[in-house]
Amino acid sequence: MSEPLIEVRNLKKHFPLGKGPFAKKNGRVVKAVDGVSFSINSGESFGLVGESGSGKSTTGRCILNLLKPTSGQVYYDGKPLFDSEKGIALNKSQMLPFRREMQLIFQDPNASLDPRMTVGAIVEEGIRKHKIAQGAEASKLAGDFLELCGLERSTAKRYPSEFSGGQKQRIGIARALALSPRFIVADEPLSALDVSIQSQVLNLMSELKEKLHLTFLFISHDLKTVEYFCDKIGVLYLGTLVETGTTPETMTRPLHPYTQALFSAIPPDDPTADNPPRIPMIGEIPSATNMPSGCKFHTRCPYAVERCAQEEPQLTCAEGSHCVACHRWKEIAEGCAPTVYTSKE
Amino acid sequence: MENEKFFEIKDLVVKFGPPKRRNAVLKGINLSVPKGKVLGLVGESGCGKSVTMLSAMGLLPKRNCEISGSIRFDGQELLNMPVKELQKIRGKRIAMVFQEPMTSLNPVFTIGQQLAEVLEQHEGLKGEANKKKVLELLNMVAIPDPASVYDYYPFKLSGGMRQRVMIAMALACDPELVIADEPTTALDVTTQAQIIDLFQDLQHKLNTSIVFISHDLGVIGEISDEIAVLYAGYVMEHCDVTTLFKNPCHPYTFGLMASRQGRSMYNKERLYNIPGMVPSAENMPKGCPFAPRCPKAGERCRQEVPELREIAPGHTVRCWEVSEHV
Repeated sequence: MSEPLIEVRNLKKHFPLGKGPFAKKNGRVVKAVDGVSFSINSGESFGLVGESGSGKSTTGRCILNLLKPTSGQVYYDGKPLFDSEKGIALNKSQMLPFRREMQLIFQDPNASLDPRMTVGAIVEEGIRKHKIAQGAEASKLAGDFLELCGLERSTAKRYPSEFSGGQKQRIGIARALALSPRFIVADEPLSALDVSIQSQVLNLMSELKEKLHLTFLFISHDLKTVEYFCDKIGVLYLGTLVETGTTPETMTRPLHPYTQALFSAIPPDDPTADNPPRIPMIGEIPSATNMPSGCKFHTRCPYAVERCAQEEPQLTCAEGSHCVACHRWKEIAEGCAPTVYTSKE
Repeated sequence: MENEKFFEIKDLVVKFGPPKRRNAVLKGINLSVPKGKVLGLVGESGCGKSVTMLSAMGLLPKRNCEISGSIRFDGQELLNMPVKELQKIRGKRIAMVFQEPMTSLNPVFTIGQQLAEVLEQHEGLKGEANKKKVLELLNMVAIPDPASVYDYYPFKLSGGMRQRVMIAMALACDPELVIADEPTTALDVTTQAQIIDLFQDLQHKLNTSIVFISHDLGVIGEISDEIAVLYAGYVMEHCDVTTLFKNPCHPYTFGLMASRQGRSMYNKERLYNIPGMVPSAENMPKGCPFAPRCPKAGERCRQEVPELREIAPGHTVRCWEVSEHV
């Protein structure tokens, strides 16, 4: 139960800037993911949150080997998918057996279903490709999975355009489940849907998670859905994890100033009640081509001091499984006053 | 009294489709915004939130579309106003902020050029005076380093920055009414919080009236004075913010509230959800449009469309099952 199914160590993904054969030589890179480590136990769901541009989706894609990481290690069930130290990088055909067990649910259900294929064909494609079943049996299996996702068997004959956003997302989920995967990366599966439909899809996913004992990497910028769905949370900022912990720990007592600001930006449940004031965050997320020195958050942090601009803090365990990457988390937790530090850059 | 009905929509009916098979998308909307107040419009996609405001701006296509009713702004009727006259109001006294900051800026003009155009058109500002005002506007919406952003093309800016530019553009001529159509939907929570603060700031400073459209009750609740809940072209419930959050009466409002994921929900029980989906304009059910999804629907709901009734002063609900306040 508590065996880690996915282990990620010091994962980095740098994209070279510019085009052509010399792009890699000029040395300018976008550090989309810059040293991320975490593990997900079997049957758990891990929520990856952060603003846009923080590297959430890139992390997800690197784990699935859809993008080749620059360095680091990705292990699935104890087997390496990528290990820069041992020089292991699985190619397409070597990945094939893993593909069946690791599936992806996409953000935009309108764009991720082929409009010229029937729903049945979409769900069946993987079943045939992985030789789970052929012919009529494959169609029957596809129908089973559609039913599992709350759609009628007859939908198999129809085309994606005939369905609403929520239904399309169900088709996307059925397609992912058709291969009986153990691990699913859900990349913002709800953000294209209406609030009332979001809860339908979220209920379905929690149900399936229990029933099929699935392990999830849930990528989202919606903190409320993450809170509901995930057992653990990792907060990403500019490609580095600034805080990880179990959901209750992190949500009730965020330690990193970024996490605190992020959580306080969620609109309150009842705006008419007496809500704590929002923690202001200065400016925008810096561009990944021009990363700040030291702690990446120091340019926007209300508690930044000179040390933060010099030295990059490491993710260290603060309380139990609750980890934070901040030089001053203890002082902040004890309620120290905000500083006025302006970077010299 | 004039102040109370600064912007007023009365019996607005909008029908779409070819002449012989027109389907009503809005079925008699009545709303009003007093001066300096914020009205929130909330509902799922396809409820008619945007259509209501597009018709107010005269932005609906004339072909295949039939509009009736009345939209009055500061005593003037906007519907059927000649385009030339409408242009004097639109963009100057009424401004609109659109949902998609990515697509509503022109990619081949710089930010400065696009803002300058608005000022030149409506205020006749040219040259140095124009540029000064543009920089002032960029500064007002908290864009760092306005002088260089002036010469940027939109692709250089992030979503939040572009939305600020859109807001700056809307505010260029000190409008008396701003219509914001889901201005924060495409943005991160942190940016969303900044944009909401910006709107609130401006409203206090300039005494602007705002119509704020969103499907997120949390956002709407933070900024609005009054909220109207729309469903399938009807106003289902209309009251002030406190009443709506403390005492939502319509089953639809209730459903919307309940399907939000609460902030402290570690108990992994099922989330409430509204079964089914918004009916399309072609397949509108007889009777109350919400009846097929409503847990309380009775026989009468399936036969007759409920009236919008006032159940308490300033609190109107369109539902047969809701009785008067005790």
